Amino acid sequence: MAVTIRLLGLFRQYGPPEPWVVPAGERSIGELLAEMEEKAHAGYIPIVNGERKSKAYVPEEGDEIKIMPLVTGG
Amino acid sequence: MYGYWGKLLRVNLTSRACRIDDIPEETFDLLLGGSALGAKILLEETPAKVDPLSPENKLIFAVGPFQGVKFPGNGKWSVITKGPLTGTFLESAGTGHWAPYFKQCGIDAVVFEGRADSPVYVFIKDGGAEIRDAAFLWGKDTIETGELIKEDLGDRRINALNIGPAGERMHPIACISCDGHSFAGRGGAGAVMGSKNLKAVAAWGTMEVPVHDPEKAAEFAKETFRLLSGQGEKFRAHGTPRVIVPLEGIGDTPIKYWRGDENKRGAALLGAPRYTEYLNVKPLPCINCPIGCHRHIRFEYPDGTVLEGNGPEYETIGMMGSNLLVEDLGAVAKANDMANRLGIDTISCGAWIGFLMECWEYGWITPRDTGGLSLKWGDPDVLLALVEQIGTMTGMGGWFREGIRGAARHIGGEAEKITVEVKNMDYPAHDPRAVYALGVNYAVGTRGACHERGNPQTSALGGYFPELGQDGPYDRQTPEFAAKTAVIHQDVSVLMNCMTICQFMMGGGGLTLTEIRTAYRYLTGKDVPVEELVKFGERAWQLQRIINVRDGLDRKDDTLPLKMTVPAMVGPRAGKTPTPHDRILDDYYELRGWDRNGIPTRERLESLGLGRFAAFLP
Ligand code: SF4
Repeated sequence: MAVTIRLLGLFRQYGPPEPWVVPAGERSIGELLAEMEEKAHAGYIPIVNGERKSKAYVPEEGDEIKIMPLVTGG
Repeated sequence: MYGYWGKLLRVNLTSRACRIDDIPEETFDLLLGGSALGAKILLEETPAKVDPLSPENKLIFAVGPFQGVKFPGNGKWSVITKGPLTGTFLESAGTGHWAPYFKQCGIDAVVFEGRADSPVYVFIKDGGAEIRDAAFLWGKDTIETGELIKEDLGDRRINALNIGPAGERMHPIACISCDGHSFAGRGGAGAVMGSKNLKAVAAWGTMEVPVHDPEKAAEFAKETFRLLSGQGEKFRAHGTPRVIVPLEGIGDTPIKYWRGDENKRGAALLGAPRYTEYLNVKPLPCINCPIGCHRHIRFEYPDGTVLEGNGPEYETIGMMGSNLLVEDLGAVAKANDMANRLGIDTISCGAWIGFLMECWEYGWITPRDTGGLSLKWGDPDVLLALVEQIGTMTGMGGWFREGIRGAARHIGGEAEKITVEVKNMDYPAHDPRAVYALGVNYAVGTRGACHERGNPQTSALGGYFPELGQDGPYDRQTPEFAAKTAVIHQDVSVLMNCMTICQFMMGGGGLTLTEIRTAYRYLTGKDVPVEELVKFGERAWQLQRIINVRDGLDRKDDTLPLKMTVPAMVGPRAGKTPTPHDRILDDYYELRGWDRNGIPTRERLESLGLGRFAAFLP
């Protein structure tokens, strides 16, 4: 019962660059990424199966999740 | 019509006459407003090859439909003209507190024509404008000017777009300032104001913009504000200086005028989180902004002097810090403040200093040329001295009257080979060897090398557009993806400049195209699917290209500087160059519907509803 999370861009400097497998139905994306968000000093939008979701979303079996950082540099 | 007034204010500075013309609804249906509206006016009303500093050039300020409610990021405005730095089309955009009040005057755009016989400023108010004497403002810096206009009009709420002493002197990189912390920075729009003896444009309107569904529009704006405020919390904390370290980490930030490979130490010293603490930062939001990426700083120097005000952004830190190997953040903050007050673009200013330092290193300029100054890399005193000289066009600053190409001609020899520019506009602080799409994006930039139209560097940070069918950012160092990435980012970022919404609402706050579609529907009553929305961006881009092609620009002008063909020896972009440039350019032209020489085809223009503008092509 697993879900893959792929970190994009900036976040790859703070977490696994390869897709990362987490258990489904347990913790929300916000909980899973809390530590990394702090380390990266950057917010993000979870994109689940191509759709934007909130951080409160709890991943379900088979989900493909991409983490798009919210940070930009002018 | 909803979301717009359908009104264009014309101010003839020669005759000192003001008039209001109608703008038909079809124009907004085709072009939205802002950047595209300005391009249309410029194309139709100025002759080919008009001298940017002549009275015949026009200076247009325009906004879009989003100033009708308190929509997040609607402090944005666009200024459109022929640019003195490049001689091409120029659109520059700023934020601040001006745009919504301008719209509430009952107009969507203002065109300045002619030239006043003495310094003036224009006060736009409900349904009209007043031309006022500006002799008392001439010579004042951008901050003083804003304050003096508030006093002159007896109302501290009134904001004025204005120029500093550089604009008055028609400096080729003079910018237009708003509130002292937001700038239409690039390409010299401030010089066009100076050429017209126009010191400032104040605006204060109280009229309610007609909105299709005012209740829903206001409610949706409020909801979106709350959403973006939450999503943008981290970006608010550190602003754009946050990306100095990660962008250096992928080789994107300029080092030693594009010759250095790595600068980890410099990035850590200049970027956030250190920046935030060292300069005592507070976020400084523009009007209706849920993020506040601008930085208010308070810094005490060792000699006890205090600098309080607007702090440097990513671009300034990149060009005046890392680019010059300057690691002293206090000096970069000071240089930023000097440039802002004089009213010059910090990007080109930093590029020019880097160019001079390199010429010094090679011995092409000597103490006799520099007045005894040793132009050593990393020297904060040299940075400050050269900002002063460039800003006032004195000493070595005088070499740049025609931009970097002019300075290279002045120095002679090989100097022209080391410049990093397109169409005479210096590269901003993002390296195409790290993100290949930047090479072609800069090359075809309608105002020269520009990172805001589009901004493919955001794809390297992880940004992409799922609503446009992307399933992730395209690989940043694969030549086959370069043109595609540039096109998608150009269309979206130019769309934002037609809507006149701050682009950081997307990249920093997570605003989606779907949310823009919904808000646009409430504002105007028109429902436009997202794939159609981005076509507004493309239309604006094609019109801008037509203006340049009419003046004789084509493929030969869409260049990649020599340095970009030289890979790094070590570090994250070792062995990488955005080449072959010609092939990437071919891909780009094909995606844009241009012929092999970079000329828009009639078929493509017709498919976008722009067929009648083909008549302007040679
Ligand atoms: S994000 Fe920054 S530039 Fe944009 S409106 Fe807010 S403060 Fe201004």
